[in-house]
Amino acid sequence: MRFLRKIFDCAGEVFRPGRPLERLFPLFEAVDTFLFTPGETPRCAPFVRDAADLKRVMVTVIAALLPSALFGIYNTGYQAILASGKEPALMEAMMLGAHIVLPIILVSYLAGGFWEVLFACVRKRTISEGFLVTGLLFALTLPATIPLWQVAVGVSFGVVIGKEVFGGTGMNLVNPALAGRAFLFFAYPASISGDTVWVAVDGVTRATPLSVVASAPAGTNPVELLVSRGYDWSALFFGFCPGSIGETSRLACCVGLGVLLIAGVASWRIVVGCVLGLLAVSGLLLFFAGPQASAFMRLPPYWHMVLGSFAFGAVFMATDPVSSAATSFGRWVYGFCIGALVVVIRVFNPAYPEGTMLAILLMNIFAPLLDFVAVEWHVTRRNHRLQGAKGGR
Amino acid sequence: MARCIRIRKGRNLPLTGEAGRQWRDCRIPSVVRVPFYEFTAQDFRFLVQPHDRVLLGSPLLQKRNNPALVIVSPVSGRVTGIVRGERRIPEYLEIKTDIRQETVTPRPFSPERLPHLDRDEIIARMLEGGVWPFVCQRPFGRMADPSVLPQAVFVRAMDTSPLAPDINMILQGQEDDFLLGLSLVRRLTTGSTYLCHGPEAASRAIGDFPGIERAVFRGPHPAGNTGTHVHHLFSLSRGKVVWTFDVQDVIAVARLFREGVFCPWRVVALTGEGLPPDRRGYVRVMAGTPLESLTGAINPQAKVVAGNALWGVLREKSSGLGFMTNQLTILPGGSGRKFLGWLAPGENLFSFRRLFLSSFLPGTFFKMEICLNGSPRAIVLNDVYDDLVALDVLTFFLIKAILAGEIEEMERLGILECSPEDFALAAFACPSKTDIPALIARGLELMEKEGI
Repeated sequence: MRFLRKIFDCAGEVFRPGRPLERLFPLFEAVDTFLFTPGETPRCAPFVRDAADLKRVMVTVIAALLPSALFGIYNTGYQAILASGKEPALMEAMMLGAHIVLPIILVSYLAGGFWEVLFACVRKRTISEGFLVTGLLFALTLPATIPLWQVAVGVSFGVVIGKEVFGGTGMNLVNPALAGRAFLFFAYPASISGDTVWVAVDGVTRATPLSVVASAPAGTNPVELLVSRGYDWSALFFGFCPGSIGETSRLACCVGLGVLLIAGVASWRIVVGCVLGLLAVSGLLLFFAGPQASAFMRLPPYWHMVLGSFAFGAVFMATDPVSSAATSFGRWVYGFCIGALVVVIRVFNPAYPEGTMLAILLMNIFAPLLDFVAVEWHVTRRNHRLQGAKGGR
Repeated sequence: MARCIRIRKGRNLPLTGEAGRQWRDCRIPSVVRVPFYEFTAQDFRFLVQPHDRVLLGSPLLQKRNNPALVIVSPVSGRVTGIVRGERRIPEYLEIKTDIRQETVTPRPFSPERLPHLDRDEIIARMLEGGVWPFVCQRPFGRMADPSVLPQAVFVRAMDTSPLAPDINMILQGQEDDFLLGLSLVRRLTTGSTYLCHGPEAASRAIGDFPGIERAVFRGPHPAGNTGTHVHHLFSLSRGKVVWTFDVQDVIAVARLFREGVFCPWRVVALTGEGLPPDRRGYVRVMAGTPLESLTGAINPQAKVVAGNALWGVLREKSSGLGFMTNQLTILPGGSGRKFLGWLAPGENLFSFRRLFLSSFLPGTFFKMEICLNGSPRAIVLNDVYDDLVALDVLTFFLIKAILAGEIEEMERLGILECSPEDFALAAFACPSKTDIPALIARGLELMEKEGI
């Protein structure tokens, strides 16, 4: 490794200010600190620092995403083989899935990475590791049949308009991966919604469990309907159903959530808030649902949890610390509203029942307002305390 | 009766390199280097020239806007040079010490007179005796202005920072001086005087005394920070001022009044993994003593911090000990750049978050190097701070207000209660390696210049 280190030390000289490749220094810094820890020493206190840096945090988030990604790869292959009428074997499904999904992930990383590096070089700031997560998250929210050029366009929109125009990582208002997906959703709805896009075999139509319920006539028992289509609760929980690449396995999302919570990276308040919001609103609707109510209204709350991208969104998207609320109060409300909105969109917007993306984006926009309320509340409390203690207690 | 206050926010750093309980010897060095980093040296005028003879207690510097306020020599000898650093700011004054130490004529107060001194007499004697620089004023944490009347006085008889000296060791043999000092600093205010200590204080100098309000702070660091004490016992806001002292400052005040001459001796804990165990311990030492004579030969990569690992100043080994230093921490360093460090299992790396194997292994103490452990980035995890700052402050929003230069918002969010030191733990934990104490200092500076 000393030899490699020496090469980098020599190469680094070319990127110093005033040297020919000065402009590309952020790229060099990224590769250099990726291979070797930076080893910088602080010049002012505190002199010892926590061993965790942003690289480690982001790598942990990626590790949390891995179960979802791996199961997504498997399920993509599994659904495709199933649709062609064969019995899917594990390895076969993995190989086929990898063949379909890995190019999507790769294109997402390359196209997004290009913009990330470009902006960092032009702005003369370091490349943030946050993109490693955005690139993978974005790919996992797409259906397996998405054309690769659309992946590139979508991730470009997400990175540039969703993040870089606001100043880069840490300054964005909305989750960049979701911004990219929302762009694709409105720009190319045919490639990302409907019944034909979920199975990577041409001409195969398979409705997601969500649209099965959404298209059922009023008065149908949604649970019986789902079970009759082969989607019993456990199949949905384990993820053997069509859907976006990463969203189908709620079990993998739970594993990811475990990793994020144990590591202390995600806010448990947001996740608990999401679940509470979903349970509260769907429970309320079920309570008021008559026998002739729409199928979604009659769906029990615990079924809502395993449908659509709620689990994936709540665990990986809503918990993005930059675009979510930053106060405890804000986080509770933010999470609760996401869960509630997901159900509201499902029940009252049958044209497009998948509401997680829009619910999170909407609450991203409202997060600063929630924080504003929490901060004002805090300041009022402070002032009361200070007035109560005139001249010291 | 003492008030008991339990601090729930914060964490202790499990650093190796404790001082132990042994006392080390230290003789009067042949050369002392009196450093000025503890004061804003630009505000002072030199009263001595190279080749002048100085006595222990004779003034070296004088405050420009208050000539009564002086910094005095900790030693008798001959000035050999004034060393200046960047922008000609004086860094230290070198004095070659005499073999026989001589002091200025002592002017002690008789024991009968001591209880009857009034505030003005005490302040005047503290100013000319050279102990005034030890008085710290909040908000802003500056050297106190003798013309203001503080609403309260705080005496801090505890330290929860990493490897901090044990209060019982410091007080050993100085109990009477501490009590005398307490009765003197109490008279500096018309309000309350608070004596804040931890549950481990066992010295007879810590107890209930008339005119003193005692408070016991339990809990992890920063339970021992003055900022925490002031926040929980007194609400600092616009127009209010408090003065704060450390135990050793109070003792120095007492000795000035009792012996009539400045006492340059302090108890300093020699700590840190960078120092071999047989050289760690407590030492009674004079201000200005070159650090290398205290640490001995150490690894060239190791760094000497005047203070503790979380809060202090990086000092050259050749420089002298400051007037207010209670602890030296020698931190190992320079293990270099590690290949693919972000992938390391990290069985010996310490983190507040459970991101490394070490969080799941038994083993409670860690050897920490002087290292940033990463590179500075934009803030991403913004919920790291609030559990580590023991003040009623929304750190993330305060940082935002400071970065935006919003003075009113800063004040609303409570910057007047803050001192950079209180945010050291938050800066330790920040994965984006944000220099939060420096930001707080910037905000306070802005506030002082334009806000009040």
